Amino acid sequence: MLNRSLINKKCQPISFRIKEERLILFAKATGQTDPIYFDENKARAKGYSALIAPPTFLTVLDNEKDNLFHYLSNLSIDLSKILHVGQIYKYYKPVFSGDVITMEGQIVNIFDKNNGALQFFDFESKYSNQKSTVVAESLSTMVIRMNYE
Amino acid sequence: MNKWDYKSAKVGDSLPSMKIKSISQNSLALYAKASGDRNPLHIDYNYAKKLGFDDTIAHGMLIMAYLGRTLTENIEQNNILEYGVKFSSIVNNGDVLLCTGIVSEIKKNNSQNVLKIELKVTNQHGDKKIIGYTIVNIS
Repeated sequence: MLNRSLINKKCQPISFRIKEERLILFAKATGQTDPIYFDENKARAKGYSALIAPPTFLTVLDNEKDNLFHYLSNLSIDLSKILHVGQIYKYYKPVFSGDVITMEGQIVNIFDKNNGALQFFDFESKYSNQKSTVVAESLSTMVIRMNYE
Repeated sequence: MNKWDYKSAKVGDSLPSMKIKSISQNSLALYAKASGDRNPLHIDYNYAKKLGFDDTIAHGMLIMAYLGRTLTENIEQNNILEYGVKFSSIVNNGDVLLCTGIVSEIKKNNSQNVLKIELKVTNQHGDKKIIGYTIVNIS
């Protein structure tokens, strides 16, 4: 069971340099057809300074380091019981190839359904670039299937 | 690109829909590599079986990325202010998906004029996979 004292306990921030190769691979894996996501010359021709990160690319930071999952395993939560059930992004500034993005996050809410069989938590993240400009925020909702063995 | 004149859209108008041909083991393996989400539930059949699933299941974030592509193929990305989803049910290997959206609201948000679009992803059986929304700047 998740202890409510975890609410607002901050994860260690992580920083991640957005590399062109990673953007190109992500564009391929998600079937992008618009060249602003994988062809730098065409992105520049359209007025962008470099390749642009598509709307869900920041999820890469969630997976890049131990971060969230490491944080949860420290709390003795079995990672195989966690499912991602919701995701919200708010966008403030575009993210480009070459940017260094720092993500800071914390659990902001814990609740349960079905008499505790399903336990949910909301994880809020803030993403800033190398100029300390906040580029986006996100809210991820996860469920832990407590009744699964 | 940007064929849809979303800045003149009215409540009830549809976002041009997009079909995702088929979710395959290859698409999941490629997304695992690109996203860094190497949870074996998405790529290892035996592991998925052990957890009680019939087969490997798609990364929710891959489906959100496909739906996001439906947005950016019709709307300049810098006008997308907010994008959220709920993963309603599991997407299996072999599923064919349809991404759709309907304008539900036009309003003023701070000083901006914005559209709200209700979004949905369904599979070949009409099962709901994602429900979501986006807020788009039309100022």
